[in-house]
Amino acid sequence: MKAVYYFDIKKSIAPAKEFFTQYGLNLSKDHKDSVMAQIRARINFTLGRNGQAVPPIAKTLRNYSFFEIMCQDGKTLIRIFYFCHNEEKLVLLNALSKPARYEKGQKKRIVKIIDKELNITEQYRQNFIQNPNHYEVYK
Amino acid sequence: MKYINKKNYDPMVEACKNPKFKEYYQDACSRIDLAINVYNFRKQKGLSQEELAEKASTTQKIISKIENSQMNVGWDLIMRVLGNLGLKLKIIDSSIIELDCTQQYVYRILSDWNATNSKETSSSKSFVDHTTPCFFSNKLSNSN
Repeated sequence: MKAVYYFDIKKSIAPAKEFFTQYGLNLSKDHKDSVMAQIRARINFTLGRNGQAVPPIAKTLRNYSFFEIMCQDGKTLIRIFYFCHNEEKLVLLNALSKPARYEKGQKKRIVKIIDKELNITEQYRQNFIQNPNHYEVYK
Repeated sequence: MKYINKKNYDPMVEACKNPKFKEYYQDACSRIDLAINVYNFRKQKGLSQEELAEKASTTQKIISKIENSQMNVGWDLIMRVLGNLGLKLKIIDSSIIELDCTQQYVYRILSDWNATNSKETSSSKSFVDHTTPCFFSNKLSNSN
């Protein structure tokens, strides 16, 4: 099994890769690289388990057909969504970051955003199943 | 927020160029290994994070952080947590394990039933045979 980034033709980006790029922008180089190392270790761990979501590193999502890898960076939780295609590819569909703990009055708004992202991710999954060549190699 | 739009920019590849990356990666692997073991054995013992925390004289938050592989665990704390899960920690020479990794040390957690075979651990073969599959069997060369 190998890991790949889902590539969205309409947006001309790989959403998960784009997230990693944008997330690192506001961090110092060492901090960014440390976060990337943590993410890479989790992805490789999941690859080593043939994409199986092994808690507490990864988990299944209720009502969705994909899984998530979790990575905490201080007070921020990074959620990376993936699914396994034909037991050949671990497709990194999308990723998002959220506060590990919600501040007062923020929860409802953030949950709404996350739900929206989850629905978009489900759409990405369906797009990939229809066009399995739309991916970027995860190096 | 700043925005980069470099078509060929790959944050993972860029990070791998950092000389410290391998060290970060190995630290992350060690923490994941510890997190998985603490989580699995805690579940096996039917303990909640609060119960384990109470037994190990720490807080639920700390147990949560260990299981999220989020913190460096001090020696005393790790011994208390593992002790309460019926586990012990062994530091061994990685050269005796047939793994594709270059680490100088490996956390190896042996369960109770493996501990009964501890006399046999002097030979590398029996050690590998009696231990549970370890995360470190993942090739670290992937990180490059």
